[in-house]
Amino acid sequence: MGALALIEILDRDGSVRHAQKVLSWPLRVGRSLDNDVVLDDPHVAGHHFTVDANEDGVYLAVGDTINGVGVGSQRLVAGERWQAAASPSTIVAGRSHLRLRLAEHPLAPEMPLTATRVLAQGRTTIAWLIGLNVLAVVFDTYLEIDPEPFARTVSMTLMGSLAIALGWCGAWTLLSKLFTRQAHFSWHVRVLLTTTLALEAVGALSSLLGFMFSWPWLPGYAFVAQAAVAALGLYFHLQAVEPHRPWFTRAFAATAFVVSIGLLAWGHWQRTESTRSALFQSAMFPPALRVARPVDIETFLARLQPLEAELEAKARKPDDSEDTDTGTDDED
Amino acid sequence: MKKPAWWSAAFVVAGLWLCFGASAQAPSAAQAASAPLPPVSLSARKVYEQARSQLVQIRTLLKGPGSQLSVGSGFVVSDEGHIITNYHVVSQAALEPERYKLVYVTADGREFGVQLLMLDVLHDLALLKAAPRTGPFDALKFRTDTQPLGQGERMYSLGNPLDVGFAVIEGNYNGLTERSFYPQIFFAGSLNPGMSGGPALDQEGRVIGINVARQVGGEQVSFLVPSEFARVLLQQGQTAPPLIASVWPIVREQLMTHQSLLTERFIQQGWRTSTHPRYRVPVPVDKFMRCWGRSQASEAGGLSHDRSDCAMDTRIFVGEFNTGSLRTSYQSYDGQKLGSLRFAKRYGELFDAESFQRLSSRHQTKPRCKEDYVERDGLPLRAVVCLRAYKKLPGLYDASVLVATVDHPTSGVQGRFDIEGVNYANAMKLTRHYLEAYGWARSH
Repeated sequence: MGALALIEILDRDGSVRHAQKVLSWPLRVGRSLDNDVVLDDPHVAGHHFTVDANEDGVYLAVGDTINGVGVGSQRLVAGERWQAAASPSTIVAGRSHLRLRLAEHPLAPEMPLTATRVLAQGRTTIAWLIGLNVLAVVFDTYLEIDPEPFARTVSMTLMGSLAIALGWCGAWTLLSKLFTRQAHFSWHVRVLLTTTLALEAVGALSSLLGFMFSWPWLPGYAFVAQAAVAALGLYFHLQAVEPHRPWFTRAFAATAFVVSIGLLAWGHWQRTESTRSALFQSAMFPPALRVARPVDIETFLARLQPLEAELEAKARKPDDSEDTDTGTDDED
Repeated sequence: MKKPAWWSAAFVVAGLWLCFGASAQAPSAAQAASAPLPPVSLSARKVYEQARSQLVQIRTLLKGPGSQLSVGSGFVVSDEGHIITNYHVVSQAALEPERYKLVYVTADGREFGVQLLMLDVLHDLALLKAAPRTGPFDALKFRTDTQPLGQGERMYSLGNPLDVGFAVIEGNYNGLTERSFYPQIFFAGSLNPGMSGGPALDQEGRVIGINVARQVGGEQVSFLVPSEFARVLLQQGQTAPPLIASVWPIVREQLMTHQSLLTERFIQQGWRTSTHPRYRVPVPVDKFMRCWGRSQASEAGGLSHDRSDCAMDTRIFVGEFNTGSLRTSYQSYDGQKLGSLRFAKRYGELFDAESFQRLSSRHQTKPRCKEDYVERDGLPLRAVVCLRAYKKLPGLYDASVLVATVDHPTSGVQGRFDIEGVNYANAMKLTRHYLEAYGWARSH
């Protein structure tokens, strides 16, 4: 005779820790040793629930428990019954997660390997990313420093970046290992390297376009795009930590994005009473890249006129902020 | 990257106000205490004895507990009890009469009430009137313009330095100071905090000037307000009713007069010619400004730069801050050794290091800015103008104009013009005056 059902005890990450065929009804589950499935969980009653069958089909009857049983999103209390659904259901008793699969449940087709996300990364991709990041670091260092100590500075910057990258990926790897039992190191490396490249690109591109077209708002609000990139990076890192809770990772990354934007904008506001990250655009590029046509002094001064009314209104407002900024009086 | 601060040491910083308060000037007080007073000659004794009864100390007291906040000096100029002192001696009580009050103390230690009648913020003077008493007051006489002093002539400054007791300081008259926006007498003698508002007398005991400031970092370099301004103030305010409310509106009105005069004189004096081999860069004629320059070649094969800073010695003391001054500076950068990308990066970082916050948010709004590429004489410039409004001086603004040339891949000039305490129309006028001064050098 074939099995009537399969009862599985699941791990925190959703993987099966223990599976047991059910050859006859009823199936008794609880902490007491006379059960068919014994759950050594202090939040489970001696006889927590029973699965049995009658002419209507298989049902679950909750035993004498104070914590009840969770089935899907339903919560059952002591004495309640639940008729088994047409597909495998997750059952929560105390802190234990179980799954009940009946013989009559249709068998899901085999899934091809490619359809699931394979977090292991190809060496070529990683090598490319490392190469591009090294180039970016070297170029940034080249821009920052005077010609003479270039080689020494670049090697020190690279070592520093490497240490930070390893520390970052190492921490994520530990988290992955803790929650999924898999390291996913190369995945975290890829996420980090892609994120840093994207951050760099957003910063450079916004400054460049700001310079070319005289759009000071673009570098001024580049922090929004950069926060979005960082939140995406966080989302992909989290995928290798909590792969079975996509809604949670998405919500977490979205919250991180909103909170960081809010904090940054608030910080800018405190400093300059504007949500922009800087009062004016300062980044410079070679003059040949400038596209915007200069205006004459008359036009420029005419644009300053509306500020008078704005400033006057601001000056009339009573002291709204405490005297926290370090305004330096010229007084000797 | 922070701008080098080498020039701040080179600046001859005028105006350590000589009002002595618990909150300020502790270091200079210590410095002053260690300096021995010069020997007093016979005529100094005579002058002091003559002026002793006309000399007073002005104290600012907290209204509740009556403890003293700051002290200065003053002197009686009419037999009805009019007293002349510095505005900065009485500024706290004048601006916040609900918190502070003024009293005067005579040389024999008696304390009486005193009222504020009139101010001359621009020359740092105040006219007070002593509470009436039965007998007439002894008054000091002003020396008139028809009796000019010769350089080197002996004079005597009186006051109560550091609140240790009335004193006479002997020194010499050295004419008017150079580059001061308003006339000031250069007195070669040691003025100390607490002597502010005291008289400086000639050998006959007539008032030549009023002690006002000394040079920080100088030795016996002190400044007096010419007595003529005190005489005019007495004339105008002799019968004025006492000022009971806060004087912010009066200060504002006088600053309005100052800013229109300042704007007019600044624009009139024009710019210096040939300041840069490639560009015309605005550097003011130093009639009432002082300019310092410096050149620095990079040792690491990077950016080399020349720098010029011009600032006015004169600033108007308002109370909790100074205003009414102009400053210009420019830096010329040469980055041939860097190449265009590196130069651009560095040039942008240097442009970014500029700050616009001068006074705390209690006194000024946060800056509002406008920026764009501006063309002058065919020369493309990046221009940023930021303005802040004064909260207690409605209609007055600070403006800062930042300019960077954007025509050359490996060199450029960045200039800055700071305008303090002008109305909006003059802020625009001065901004235009500054921007229009840029262009190509004629030889270019």
